[in-house]
Amino acid sequence: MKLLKIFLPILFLSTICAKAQNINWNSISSENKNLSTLDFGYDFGLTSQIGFYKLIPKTKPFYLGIDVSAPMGNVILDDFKLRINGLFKVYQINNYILSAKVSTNFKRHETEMVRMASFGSELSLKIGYYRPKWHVSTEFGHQKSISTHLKHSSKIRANYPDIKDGWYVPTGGNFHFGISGSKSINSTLALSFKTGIIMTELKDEKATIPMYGQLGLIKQF
Amino acid sequence: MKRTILYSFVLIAINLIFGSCEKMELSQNGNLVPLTVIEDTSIPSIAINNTILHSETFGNPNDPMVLVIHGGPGADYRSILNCSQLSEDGFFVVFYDQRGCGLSKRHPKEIYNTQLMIDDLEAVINYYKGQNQKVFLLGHSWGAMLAAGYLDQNPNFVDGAIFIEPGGFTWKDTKKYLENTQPTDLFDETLNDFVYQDQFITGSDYNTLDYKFSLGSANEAESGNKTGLTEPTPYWRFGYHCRAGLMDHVIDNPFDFTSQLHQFQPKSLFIYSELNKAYGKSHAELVSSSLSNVELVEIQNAGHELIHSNWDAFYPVALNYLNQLK
Repeated sequence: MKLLKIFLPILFLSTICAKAQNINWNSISSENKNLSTLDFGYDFGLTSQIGFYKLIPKTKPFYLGIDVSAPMGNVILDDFKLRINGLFKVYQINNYILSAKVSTNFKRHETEMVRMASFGSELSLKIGYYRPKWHVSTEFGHQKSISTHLKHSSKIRANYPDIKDGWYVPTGGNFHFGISGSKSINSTLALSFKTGIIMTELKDEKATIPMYGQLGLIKQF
Repeated sequence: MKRTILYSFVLIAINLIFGSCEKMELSQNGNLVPLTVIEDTSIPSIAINNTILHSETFGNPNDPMVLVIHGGPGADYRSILNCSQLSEDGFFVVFYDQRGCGLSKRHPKEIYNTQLMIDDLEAVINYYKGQNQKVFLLGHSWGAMLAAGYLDQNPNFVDGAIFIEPGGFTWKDTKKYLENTQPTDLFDETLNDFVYQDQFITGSDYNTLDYKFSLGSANEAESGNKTGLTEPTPYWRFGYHCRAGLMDHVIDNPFDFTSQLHQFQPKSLFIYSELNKAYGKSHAELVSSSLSNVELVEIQNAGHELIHSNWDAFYPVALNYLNQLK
């Protein structure tokens, strides 16, 4: 709840934010090479996310950025996800654009039973129809928790004293498939959304809530 | 060129850091959850109904038998081991971890259904019951529902039953209770903790999913829980496939354990707790109305896990009831 109280005022007061993955490649301005993002939605919990991206001068548009997200709750910073992202346009035919996002992430999660710290990767592809003031797209991606460190509490050891702390590899993965889009509010500010379903790998049991959805703001500056 | 060298050093450093650590797998036996009767044959067990169950007894086998049935589905009998004290008061006390739960043998979730669990219960009774031996059932939560399921089909083979906060004897009543237990604050730490771990751990094997289930159980006793739990209850090992399989089954095949339950003539003891705000007297009256001869008792200063949390209040009530029918 504390996080909500912190992030909601930022959400309403901010004029500089949006969903970086939801970049409208047809509205990029050469004068504004930075993006700020702010999102709120469901992504393995009710989460708030902020991010910053910088346009790297290359032949094709390429954004390098960082974002951090955290779920709601009474305890701040016990759970969060930090990502370093590369966003780039792969191919374009008229207004149809194929883009990709490659990320490496660090996730942390703590309960009364265990503290998890995980390094992982994400790859997603997006095909969309882009106009200067709006876009819609479909996206498909995969995230993998490559290596996760588990540190167990005395509470869980009371039940199983021989439980082993340490690095576990790999510990999980999910695919996601959905739609996304954006709509410009003015020349530098846009609203964005994304929603879709989450599927686990192979025969893995599905997620408790196998879906995601986010609303956000994006600001070029 | 400089960048290539720099990136190479970074990759080598990462490799050294992680390469020097011992890497384990979630699915490896013994890493995160204890071994079952299959991997560790020293664990006391019985073979019944095409499975192997972790089972223990306390007391004189010739005394009246009290079969203790744990809750869940998916939990085990560690949290209700206090009931072994009945052996000091002239009862033969039998515990078993249900199929796929605790330290019992695991099975694919597709095999689970309510009839299979009732058949297992019947097989355990038959395994231990001597000639002319009185049998009492003591079921907690899901275990009390299972007891009702057995009595609904076998109303004349048992001499008494203690029901402790069964969710319901029908799926309809059970669903109502389960909905009452759910957190309603979407911004709650407990709720978000429960779903957040899905991006860290996924799997299909017994070890991984039982471990993940145990992490979720940590939330049950967090502040603000509606079932009156003040601390996590002890357990050996949760049974994910049992719980998921049974939940899938009852959603598609809603059960009703009340069709013949009124034919069970011995007096029943129906227990509910003061601190379980999701249950209460009204739900106790609703569920127990299917029993023809029942006494309702509220245990003060206790929540849903009252056998563990307030044994001193529960035990005299249970012992007095059993002695009446002994």
